[in-house]
Amino acid sequence: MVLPAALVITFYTLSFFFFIEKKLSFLQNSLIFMLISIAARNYTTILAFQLKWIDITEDSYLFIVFLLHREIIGPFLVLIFINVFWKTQSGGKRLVYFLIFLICLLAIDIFSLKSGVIN
Amino acid sequence: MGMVYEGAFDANEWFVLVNLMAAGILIWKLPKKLSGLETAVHFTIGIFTGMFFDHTISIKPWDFYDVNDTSDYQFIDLLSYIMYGPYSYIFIYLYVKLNVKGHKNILYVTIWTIFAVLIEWFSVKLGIFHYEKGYQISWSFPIYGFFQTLQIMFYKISLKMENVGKLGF
Repeated sequence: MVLPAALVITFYTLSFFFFIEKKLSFLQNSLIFMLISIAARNYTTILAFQLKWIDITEDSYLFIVFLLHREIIGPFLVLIFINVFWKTQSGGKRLVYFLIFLICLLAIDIFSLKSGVIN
Repeated sequence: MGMVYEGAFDANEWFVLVNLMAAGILIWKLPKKLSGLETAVHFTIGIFTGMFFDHTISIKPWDFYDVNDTSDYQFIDLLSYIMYGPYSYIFIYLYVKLNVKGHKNILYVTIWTIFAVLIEWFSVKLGIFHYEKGYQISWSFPIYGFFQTLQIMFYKISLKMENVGKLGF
């Protein structure tokens, strides 16, 4: 149940990103995507294996959910936010987008926590 | 504390540092063939790919290998991931310079894959990689080949996309 749910979230995140009008070019989006992924891997590894503040699942299926979260859902949510944020001129709308983005990130974290992907 | 293989500042650390410095100087001295953004992207691809594997198949539940002196995450590990960057940049730099086309793509990827496996073999001997759970270097050959092909595909797609305009993905 957790893996199909994660795949559905991944599908909608990617679809949403694909169809929004983008402010950044292909190469700019690619560079930001890779830098966010690199940052995400480093902080999850440090949190889990150095500081021991979180436990990453050792179950192979749930680990795929963790990878989807870390490698696709998280970075693409940030990319969607950056593109939408820069496309908008209004300060009020930007604040709303930021709050929506923050809620989405938190919701994904809660999903991982409740499903036992991270503890 | 995880597995400790050794604690000295020796061959593996020097290999990473010398490699980074030599590659940095080489990139600086080479005539520019790519734009600044392309250079940044293709340099980052190497780090991105290397780090993906090291933070995915070298941690539990798979845990196929450890990097450098201990199984913990150290600063030298981070430098050894950055070490992948110059290789991926030079890979695409020579691809553009040599104007590789058609069937020569297969030869180009094969030569680079053999070179990458040789570098990995040397890294294992120096103590940068420590294989576990029966992992063998033969697994690395298809992985390098696949990701080098993907990088070439990415380069070709990026040329088309950037020419079309700011359409993004």
